[in-house]
Amino acid sequence: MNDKQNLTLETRLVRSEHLTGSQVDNEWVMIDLDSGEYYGLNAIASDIWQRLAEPVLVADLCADLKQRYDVETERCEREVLALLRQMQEKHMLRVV
Amino acid sequence: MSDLPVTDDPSFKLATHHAFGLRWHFPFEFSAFTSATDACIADVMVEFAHLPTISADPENQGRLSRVDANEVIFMVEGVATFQVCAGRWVRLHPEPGSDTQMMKLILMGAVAAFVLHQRGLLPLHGSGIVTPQGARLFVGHSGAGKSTTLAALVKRGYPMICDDLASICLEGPDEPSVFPGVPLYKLWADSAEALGLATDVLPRVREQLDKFIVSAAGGRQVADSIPLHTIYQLEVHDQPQVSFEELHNAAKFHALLDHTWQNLTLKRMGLHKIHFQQLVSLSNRVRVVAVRRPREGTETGILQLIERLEADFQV
Repeated sequence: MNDKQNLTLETRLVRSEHLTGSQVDNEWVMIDLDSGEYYGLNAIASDIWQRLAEPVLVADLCADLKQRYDVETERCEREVLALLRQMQEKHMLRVV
Repeated sequence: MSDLPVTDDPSFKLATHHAFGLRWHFPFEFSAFTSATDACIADVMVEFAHLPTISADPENQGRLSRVDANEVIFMVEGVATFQVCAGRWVRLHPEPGSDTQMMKLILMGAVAAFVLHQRGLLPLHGSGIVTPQGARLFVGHSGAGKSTTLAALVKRGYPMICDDLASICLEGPDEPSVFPGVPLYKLWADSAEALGLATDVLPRVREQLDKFIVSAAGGRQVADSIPLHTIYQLEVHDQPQVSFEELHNAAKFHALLDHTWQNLTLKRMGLHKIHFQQLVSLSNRVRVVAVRRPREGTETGILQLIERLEADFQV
């Protein structure tokens, strides 16, 4: 897997298996069991994380979120891609 | 009533003391720890042993020299080398001519915290008291005011549970709960002064250090574990007033992580997954409040903080 692979709407992603998490109030806290690093996801990011439990096409993910949060397409895609790239940098995702 | 153990197995010893929810066997006098009054086998056995000399290794975090899922070995320069195994054995190798008191303080602190980790209990960096609604802990970094707050509340009649190290149990019907620790606390000279405590008769933590050991053994004691109600995270800020802010979400989780003993060593101990689950459980069951106080630790300042805390105790 090429870590520097450009993440686009046509990429299919799934979350990595070495992270475990749990709900605390409205957010999702996680630990990367390999690195020992901790993360906290806000409500929307944790929603995205739940959807990544199964492989999903980024375009489909955006479409779902656009409908659910009533956000316009361009902004939704921009923000989702930014978040996914951050996650990819931390080895939280796998391209499938 | 407990039966006397019938065994020739030398690895079993009778408990000499109680603290942190465990029965300890010490091969020496340890007046600070509460003495065991019933004949029970110790959970944790402390003994003198010859341990390898540890050289200061800058690659290792601080003074830790060997850490894995089963044991921790660390040295405190000028005091002793300590080995903690499987939450059951503690071996001590004091340096010749070293200060026994410092060794005992480390036993009550870092060593006990490692034992708790190895046994599945959660050690938090905090002091605690009992109120009608349950135990309330004060966690914070060095200098935040945990022991001073404890001393002020003990003076007002609240029973002390622990100082500096809080042993938290997350299993059982009254989860989460705090076990009583050692009935003594350590105060810097200026805090003692602000609280009206004379230090000339108190033992020092270490020669040339203006930090004193205060016994709470004469005060109201706690015998059993107490359900945990609220954790206050003490911090200093550059405002003139005390502020209270209840924490939620990831910030709440992180406050508890921040104040877990030896949190940077959890992964090497192979405990990071279990500890993560403990913190999630604790976060979802206890109230956490960030308390920020003015930097100057004056008598008036302490009183203001205590008044605000007592008002919160009514919640």
